[in-house]
Amino acid sequence: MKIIWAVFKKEGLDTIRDRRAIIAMIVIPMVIFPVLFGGVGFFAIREVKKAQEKQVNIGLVQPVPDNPLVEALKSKDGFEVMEIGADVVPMDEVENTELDAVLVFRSDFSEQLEGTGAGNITLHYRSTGNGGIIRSRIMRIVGDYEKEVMESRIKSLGYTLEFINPIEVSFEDTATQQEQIGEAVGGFIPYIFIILCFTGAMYPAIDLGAGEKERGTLETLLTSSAPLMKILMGKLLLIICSGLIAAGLSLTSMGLALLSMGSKIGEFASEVGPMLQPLNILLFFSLLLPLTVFFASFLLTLSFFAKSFKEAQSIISPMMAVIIFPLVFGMMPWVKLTYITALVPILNISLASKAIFSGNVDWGPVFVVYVSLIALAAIGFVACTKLVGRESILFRS
Amino acid sequence: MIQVEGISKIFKKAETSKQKIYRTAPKTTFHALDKVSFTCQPGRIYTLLGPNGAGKTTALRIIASMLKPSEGTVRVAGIDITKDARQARAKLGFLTGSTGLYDRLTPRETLKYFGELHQVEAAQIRSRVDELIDRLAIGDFADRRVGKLSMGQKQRVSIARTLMHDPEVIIFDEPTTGLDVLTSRTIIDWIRECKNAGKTIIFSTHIMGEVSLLSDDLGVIHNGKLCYNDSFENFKSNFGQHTLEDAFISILDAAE
Repeated sequence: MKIIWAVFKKEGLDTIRDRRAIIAMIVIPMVIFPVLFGGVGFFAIREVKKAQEKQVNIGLVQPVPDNPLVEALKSKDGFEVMEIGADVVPMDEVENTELDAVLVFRSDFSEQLEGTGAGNITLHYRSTGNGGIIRSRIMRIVGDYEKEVMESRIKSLGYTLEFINPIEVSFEDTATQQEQIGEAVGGFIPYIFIILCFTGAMYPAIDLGAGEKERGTLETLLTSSAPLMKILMGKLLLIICSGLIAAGLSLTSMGLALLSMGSKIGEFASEVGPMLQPLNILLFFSLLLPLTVFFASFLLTLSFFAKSFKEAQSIISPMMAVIIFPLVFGMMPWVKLTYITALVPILNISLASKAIFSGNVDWGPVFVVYVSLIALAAIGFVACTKLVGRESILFRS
Repeated sequence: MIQVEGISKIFKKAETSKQKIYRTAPKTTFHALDKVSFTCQPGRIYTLLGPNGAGKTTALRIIASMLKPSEGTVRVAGIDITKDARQARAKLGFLTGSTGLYDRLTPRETLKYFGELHQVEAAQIRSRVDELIDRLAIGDFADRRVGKLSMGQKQRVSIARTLMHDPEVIIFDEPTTGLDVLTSRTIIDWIRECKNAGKTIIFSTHIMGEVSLLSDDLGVIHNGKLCYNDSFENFKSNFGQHTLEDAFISILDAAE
């Protein structure tokens, strides 16, 4: 135990003094959620709000005088309407002038509406940027007018609106809001956490294996009377801690970001907040622990296999894609935790945490998840100690 | 004492990528060492001389129990390394040309760490660290990170690290490779000091000048075979009128 502790202490000190490891283990997990919620969320909300409140300049081509639709557009706040000549090219107006959109009324627009036909309008706009929001703001007014016309037509025939809406459906969802959000966010949480856990473990693992080879310290380490198994255990312990610290810090920063941004994120924050109860977090971390042991063993083995730090990076970095695939798959709403999916590493954590965070846990498959993850961790650890002990790996050059 | 008896080391030869694709060649083996035997006595320096790729490092790695011999036995301070590698390693220090130090640790932290790895008692670690820092004049930079030290300072730390557990046997594997004259001289002086302290020293090199400076006994290794093994005195009398380099080449030619 003394040797394991000595190796752990030394590697910890070495890692704390390694800028790259600190960035991956502490800075990124601490920054990602405030940036995600605070930065991206804040700017996204601000931009949408800006687009909603922005004055929309609309050019009208061939408008019918006193048409209620034109009047509605003119009278609405946030709309500036001007008539433009029929000879202009609408798209050029949208592209080259301050007009956000151009509405072209077909010459028979009023005629059609007075009869039983459909009045034709063409809306020219630019779909990129805020164009989508501008379009929907205009279409809301067009829709209101269309509803008015429809109502008057139905009434003129002596019917009510129910005549064309014969079935009225109301929805009652049995899933609680926690379940709904838990299902959506429960898949997202492990996605972020497992990736950060892997990234947090990655740099120390590369440094502790390939870095040791590259510095020429491996030989001196191997000629000490400390058993290789204990040296590896000390190293693994540090890599596991690095991964869990990265995951723990990201959880803390997510909680803090939600608390501070609560008013801005609104409903999302107030619903996600209660999901992060201590018991749920504890359960999630207990799932993450064996996976981290496996990650650490796997990363350290690859790291010792590599001839240099660079080679280790090029071997390990693509592994991220292998992790992301089951995590993305786990976020799909139709993928459920069963006794079969409980055996698929990474996917099983994603599905189990979805169940845990939504408060809808079936303990049978969750137990299988624990057993399979612990077995995976044990296999990873044994394989690491066996493989790293091989001359062909230790002295691969 | 180090007793090396008939050690051989066979490596699987890696296939070239062309051979892998076309499967044109069967897997072959490579004899890095072929029945090598020699003995190093306490208080004497055994120099292992050979060209690059001769098998010196393989032999030293086997003695240090990092590699397992394909055949033969090695005894370090009377302990068979294949039977009790840990016990043998506790009696052994290993120093290579690459300093083998951690850039982000200080010399003091490095020495403490290796003391702990060798399971030296905590109280003894403290006194031993202070003693080595004093003896090797490390004091001025003992608490500065190794990465910021000069090559000469690093080598002094390396020597201290090798001596931390007071080994009976010390292996120096091309310890002066790539070093300037002054730093090399520090190492040479320390090898002599270790010899005077009664330790068993095995020293590998391909630099002729160092051979005459240090050797008590000499082994010449070429293509994995020990082609000369005798005292340095006998070597000098056998090849009296030749320069050391000529004598070395004539041994290699005879072994071809």
